[in-house]
Amino acid sequence: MRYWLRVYRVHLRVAWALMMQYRFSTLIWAVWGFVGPLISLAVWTAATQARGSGVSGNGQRFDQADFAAYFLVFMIFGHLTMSWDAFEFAYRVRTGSLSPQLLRPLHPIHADASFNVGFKALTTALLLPAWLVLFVVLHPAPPPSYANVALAAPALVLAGITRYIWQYALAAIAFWTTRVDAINQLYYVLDSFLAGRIAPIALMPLWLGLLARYTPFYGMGAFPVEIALGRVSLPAAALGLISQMFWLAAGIVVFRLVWAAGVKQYSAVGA
Amino acid sequence: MDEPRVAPATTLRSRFAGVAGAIRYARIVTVFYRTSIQAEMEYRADFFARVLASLLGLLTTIGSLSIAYSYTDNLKGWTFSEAMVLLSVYYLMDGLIEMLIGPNMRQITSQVREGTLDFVLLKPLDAQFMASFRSLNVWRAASAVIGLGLSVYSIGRLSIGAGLLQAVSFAATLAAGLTIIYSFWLFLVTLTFWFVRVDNIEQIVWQAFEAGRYPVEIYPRWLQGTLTYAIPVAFVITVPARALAGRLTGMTVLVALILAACMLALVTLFWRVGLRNYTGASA
Amino acid sequence: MSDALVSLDGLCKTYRVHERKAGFGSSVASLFRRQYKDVRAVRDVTFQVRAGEMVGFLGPNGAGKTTTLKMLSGLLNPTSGEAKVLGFTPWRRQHEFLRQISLVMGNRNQLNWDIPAMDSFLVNQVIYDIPQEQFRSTLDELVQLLDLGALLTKPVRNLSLGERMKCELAAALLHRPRVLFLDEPTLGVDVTMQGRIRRFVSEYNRLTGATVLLTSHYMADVTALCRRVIVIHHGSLLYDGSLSALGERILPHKLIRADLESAAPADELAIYGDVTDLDGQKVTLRVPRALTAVAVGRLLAERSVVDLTVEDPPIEEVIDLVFEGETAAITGPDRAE
Repeated sequence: MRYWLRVYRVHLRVAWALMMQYRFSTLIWAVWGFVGPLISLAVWTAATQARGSGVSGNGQRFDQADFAAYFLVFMIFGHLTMSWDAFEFAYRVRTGSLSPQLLRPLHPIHADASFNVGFKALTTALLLPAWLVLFVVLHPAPPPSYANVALAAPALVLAGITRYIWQYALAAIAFWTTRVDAINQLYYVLDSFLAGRIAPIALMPLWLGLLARYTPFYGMGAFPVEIALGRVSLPAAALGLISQMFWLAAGIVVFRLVWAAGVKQYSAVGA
Repeated sequence: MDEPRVAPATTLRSRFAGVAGAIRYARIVTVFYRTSIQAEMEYRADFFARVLASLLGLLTTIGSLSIAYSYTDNLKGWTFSEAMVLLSVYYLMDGLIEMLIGPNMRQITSQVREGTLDFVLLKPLDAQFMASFRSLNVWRAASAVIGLGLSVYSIGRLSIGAGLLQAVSFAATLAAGLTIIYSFWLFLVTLTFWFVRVDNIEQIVWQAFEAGRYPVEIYPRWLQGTLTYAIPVAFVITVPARALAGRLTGMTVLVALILAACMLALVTLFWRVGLRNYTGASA
Repeated sequence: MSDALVSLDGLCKTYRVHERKAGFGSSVASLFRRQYKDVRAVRDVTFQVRAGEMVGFLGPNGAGKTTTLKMLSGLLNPTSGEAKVLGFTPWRRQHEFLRQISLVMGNRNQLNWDIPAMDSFLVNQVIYDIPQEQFRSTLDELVQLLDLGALLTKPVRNLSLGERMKCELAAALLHRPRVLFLDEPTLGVDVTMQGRIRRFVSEYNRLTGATVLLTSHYMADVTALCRRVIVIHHGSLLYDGSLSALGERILPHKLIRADLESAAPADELAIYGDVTDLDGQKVTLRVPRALTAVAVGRLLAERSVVDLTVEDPPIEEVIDLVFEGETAAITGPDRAE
């Protein structure tokens, strides 16, 4: 156990030094997360204004302030659960920089995970003022009770880890093919619709919403957001948490299988 | 033999130098593009995967627009069909930019970082020209073609007649838009001469460009201004879209062309300053 | 002076570098107040090179060799001083100038990785406006000299480092430059290929009369190719003259390697000279140049010698001493040329 603590601590230190060197680049990457949610908010705000009243679907109602709350929380939660290794990996495989990492008696995921955590810690601190400004400017509707936000925490943590594991499994596909662009894009499309990124799930066609709940995407995206906004009943939340844990376990299994097969393939071709 | 008269001979010679020079530069661009295509052919298998990926992005936006429009029939005055025209022009523009401009701008950035820009400077060729036309991302032509097809289709759905005038002004505004984006991107890239470690500064352009998928009016007023004048995304997409729909005056087309020419001139100057800094010339 | 193809006069290049110590505190402090240090990469360098000469620049890493070469090829503007190459001021980068020079850098490639070298050559042909006839004949010549035959149709990324270097050299010479700058051309290349590249450069110089300025920290490059060396250290020109003269001046002694019939202890052999190496019956003695003949005579007379050779000290020793600061012996009015 102490070993793992030391490993993560030293990697965090390296991550810190790296980010200090590339301060502005890091900031620019961090700001990327703002764009999607804000654009979606603008679209739905325009829709609300055109209707003159709120938008309802599947028993849930959203007016302008509700949309602001939804997308703002989605932005923040999305930032806290983001991962980019799927993109990095193809580059590493192509340039051969993966090989030295495979030679170490430590799975590369740990170095990447600690960098991920370090990045989030630093950028969250930097973005906090910006988020506060957005809260003031956008007038989001407050949740029925702030206890909801606290209750969202376990869901958020599960979402983050699950997302990381599935993304890393996806990244491992780079062992077989360089055509990861299409695969990543497919993931992005599924994520956009099934995780409630472009619109709250309740407002999507019924079949889409139903489908979403049977995929890991819902748990990785909209679920913690909906808990924080008090839009999920207690039984539904419990069910959602169980679902999240299932997908986490499934993710770990898939990841181990894909990784093992991938490494075998990689060394067969000549790392 | 008579001695050649100086005045007409020099103007004739310089005129031929102009034409011969242009021919030479045209030949060079042809060779550059041909070489790029050859290099890309090495990765033939990726072509379909990339086109597919690009299409998926388009379908996502169409999907999200459909969902929004299922609750209303207009967004800030834009109907679904009109929004589709805008989206298709966006897609066409994105394809053209990524085909012609993107690969070169990224190459300059990495060359500055790795010190291989020196090889560009050693050639008996204008450095900006060489750096700007070196590469071509041919597979993006597929995006551009899809975007063009979709634009024409969407315009058809709006029951707007298409004529030669529209086509010409569409082409002109597209060219102006490309020049403007090129100038803006090159400006950002030239900044890396001074700030080498901020080489992902182009992300700012892309983050702003994402916003251009939708009509600019849906954004708050202050952002509309930024997206039209500061980072000219809206201008570059909305103007050709309006030209296609025949809703553009000749005046606006002229303004667009003049604006493009001015930005090009400015960025060329800035590039020269950046280059002088790179080679350590005192200001 | 007037027939010099390359001439430098008091060339200087100074960089301002931002200094910062490691650690979190310093990185925050640097946001408010930056500390700069002036690094004088090239100080007051003056020399001339005539057409057809092959000159080697010697110096440790960071000495200023590459900076000098970059200024001569027009990539860098100097802080002060003048230089003329082929009658042009290099950093004005006039096209007429660029058409007649070439710079090859050992650790950087200009060839396109994904396509065969031949296709990159064709690009260069168009850029340099080389007429078809001339291109063909130059290419044939280079293919023969560098043994490129099979390499030209393979994508560059599939070539080994040495093969890539050969193609880089060919690409750089297609336009028959009159001045060739080589910056560490044999870096990372195996010993056999190093030799081949050296032989090629020498042949090329003989065939075309091109002027070659070469930097290297491999002694073998310089000793094989250049009769004239320029030693640069800490940005200053320490020596400009022939390599052998440098040896004589710095290390005015010779090495006697003797194979004795019967081994003898070091203190006994010390009467002949400094014993620098003793391995059973083989001994290496260092004696002042003037006393070499005497020492050899005595050794042969007083001991049974199976084999004996007299050598110059290895040039590496010479150079090491130069870099370590024993420069008093070579600077001043003694500087050759």
